[in-house]
Amino acid sequence: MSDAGASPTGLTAVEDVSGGERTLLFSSRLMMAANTTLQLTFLFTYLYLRTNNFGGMWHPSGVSAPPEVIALIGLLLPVVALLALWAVSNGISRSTSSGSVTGLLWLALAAVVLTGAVRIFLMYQFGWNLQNGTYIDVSTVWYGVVLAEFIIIGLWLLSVVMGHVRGTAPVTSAQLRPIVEQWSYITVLAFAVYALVEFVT
Amino acid sequence: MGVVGAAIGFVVGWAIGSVAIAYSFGEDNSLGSDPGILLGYSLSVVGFLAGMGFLNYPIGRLLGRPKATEEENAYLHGEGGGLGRYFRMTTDHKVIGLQYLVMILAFLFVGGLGAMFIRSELLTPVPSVATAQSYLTLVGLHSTLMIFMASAAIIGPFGNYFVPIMIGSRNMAFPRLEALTFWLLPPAGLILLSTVFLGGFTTGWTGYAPLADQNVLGMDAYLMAFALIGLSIGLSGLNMIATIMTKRAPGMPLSKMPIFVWGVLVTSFLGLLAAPALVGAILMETIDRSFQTTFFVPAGGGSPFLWENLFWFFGHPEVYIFIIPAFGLVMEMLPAFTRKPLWGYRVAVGGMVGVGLLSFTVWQHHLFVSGLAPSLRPFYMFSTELISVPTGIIYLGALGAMWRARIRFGTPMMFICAFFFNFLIGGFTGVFLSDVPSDFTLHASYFVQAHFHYTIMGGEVFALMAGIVYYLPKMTGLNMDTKLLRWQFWAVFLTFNGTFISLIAVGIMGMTRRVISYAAYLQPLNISASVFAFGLGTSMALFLGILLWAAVKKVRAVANPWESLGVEWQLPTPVPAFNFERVPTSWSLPYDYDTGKPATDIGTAAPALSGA
Repeated sequence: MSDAGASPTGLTAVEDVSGGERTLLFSSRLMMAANTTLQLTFLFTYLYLRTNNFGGMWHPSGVSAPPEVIALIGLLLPVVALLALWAVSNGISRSTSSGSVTGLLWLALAAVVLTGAVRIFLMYQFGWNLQNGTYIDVSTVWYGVVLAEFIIIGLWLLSVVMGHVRGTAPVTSAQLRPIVEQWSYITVLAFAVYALVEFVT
Repeated sequence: MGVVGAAIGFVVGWAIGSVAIAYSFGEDNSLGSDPGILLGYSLSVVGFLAGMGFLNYPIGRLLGRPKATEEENAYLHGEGGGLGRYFRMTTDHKVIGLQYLVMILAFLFVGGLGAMFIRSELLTPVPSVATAQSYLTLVGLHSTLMIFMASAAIIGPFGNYFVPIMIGSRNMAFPRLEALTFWLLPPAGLILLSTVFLGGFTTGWTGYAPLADQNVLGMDAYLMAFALIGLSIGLSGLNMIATIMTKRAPGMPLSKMPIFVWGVLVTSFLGLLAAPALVGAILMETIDRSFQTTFFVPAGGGSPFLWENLFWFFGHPEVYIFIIPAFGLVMEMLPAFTRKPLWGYRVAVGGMVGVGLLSFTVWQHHLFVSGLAPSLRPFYMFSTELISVPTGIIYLGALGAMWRARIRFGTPMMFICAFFFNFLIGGFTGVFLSDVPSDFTLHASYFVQAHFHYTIMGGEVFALMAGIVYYLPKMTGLNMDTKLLRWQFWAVFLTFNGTFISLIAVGIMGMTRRVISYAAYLQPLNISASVFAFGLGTSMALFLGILLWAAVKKVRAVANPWESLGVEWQLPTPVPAFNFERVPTSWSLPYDYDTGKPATDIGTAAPALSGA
């Protein structure tokens, strides 16, 4: 460790060199800020096209909302994954046995995989004709973007799980924290998109 | 390997997109469909990056493999790689800075050739060589390529090279990400240029709908290229912010950061927060073209105004992404020539932050003539004109630094003075465009084009030239020929102003931009603009020639030719692999020319740091 004066960022000099976990957490939050702009882009599109309803083509009669039961399952699963991730974090901070932590990690990963699978199935079930109104266009793209983000965070979690299981990088709570925050963000986002798309009328 | 990967990726994507997707969605399933081209481009980029080795690390992590060994890290950092490291993925921010510099100059050269073609065509009031269609593609290619170049012209070379050094860090926060942001750009440039094989695009750099929906396949190249640029800008912003905010050396609070780093920080926030709007808009335009959604198609319930809003929400901050780092760079260099402390450092930083914040509130001034609700116009007129306040504050800082100074007129200083002169004209002409009544008259004219070139070429490109002359001795150990540079400076300064003053005049006289023909009475001024433009092109080529001559003849520079107090000049040349053997812990602003005290004493440092 360095005997240098304290860094204004709170990092020690050694962390500064290797890229500390604070850098990862900070960057993850920056990513959320950028993602917020992306989501606001779709929200603006949604509101703009819905409000103006050009040519009555926002939501032509006969266009149905997504199947509600599958959509709700698609919202329930990320919550389960989130609870499992919280449990892992708590387990690590309370020094729970490694076996329990590994089991909870697998549970979280399973819920993440199921989230992706169900949401892919949900999009397949839309059965929409993309040329039949802008409500369909916005909903399809927005659901697609949320799905892509679930998959990306899922892959991040997979890398952590694999490192832990193979013993190359045992999971730490600092390592898990940005994943939990990102997953929470997308889960809340998924609820918001669901509400906007499902309750269109 | 990158090229092989790109070729394989393109063929696979093209085949899948053309046959499977196009067929499923009832599109034309020939090999020339939008999904085929877009998927081909997408997978060619993935293949290129895989061939360059970018996927090795994430795939390794997904398989739970150990992190890279010391040897792998050393190879990635380019140690002992000779010239070869400049042509592959590397995690050394200094190598990446030089990679950026070469690529920027190559883009500038190609884009400049486009400008020469445009001015040749406009020597006559009626089409002579080009057709209306090919002329529009030429204008679009020139403008888009130059926008690409401008978005990275300062941050790319100088930000990547010097920010870690200036904040006392041994590397960037995410070195692989830094390499990725660079290696996304060459494919973007090549994809854009490939539009000429696909029929071109007629929308110009703004990609306006519904023209974009109606364009031939060349539009897909524009969309793909611009999406890659947006991705690069956003990721670069993330990396820069993370580096500056979490990797500063102990003893360096924000208030002691060099002003160039502040410029990069503000710009990075703009890039991070504005680029996603562009990426979202391009995603929608892409699926409009590929899958017949109707986001921007009026017949299907969409709206071209939606594109205008989303595009300019990105597009206007984009202009400040060009110019704020240029302001930071010239303010960083200025005290070395005035031999005085930077006047009003905190106020100038506040000016940059103010410009950055306001840039998100002005985008609708681009829509004044597009049917924007009249009740909204006063707000956007006011917010746009308000930007001149923080900009003026930055100017005051520069003037204060020059006031009663014993200025050393080295060649960088000449370019710096030209920067402020040119940008001032750019700013004055901008006021007329922020004002609703005058904008209605001038919006479609060459006045806008001249205004834009005064700010970006007269501002950013002159700052780039100043930066190259100033920092080349540190980046390469080489020196450019000062005598020739002085001739080149006067040539570029006079021909630049000759070109664009002529274009301001033709704009006021009513010449419409992006149109190949014009009224006969405008020909004399157009000939004037073209002749000056040819001189401008020649003088820019001369700059490149002097640069190449310095590289070929290996004219060695002295260690600190400008007697700067910046930390970058206290390090040996070439800068060691991880910059600092020992990270300094005591810092001050590098502008204390009254006492001659450098920003830090490399000898006053923390113990040696292990690993990288």
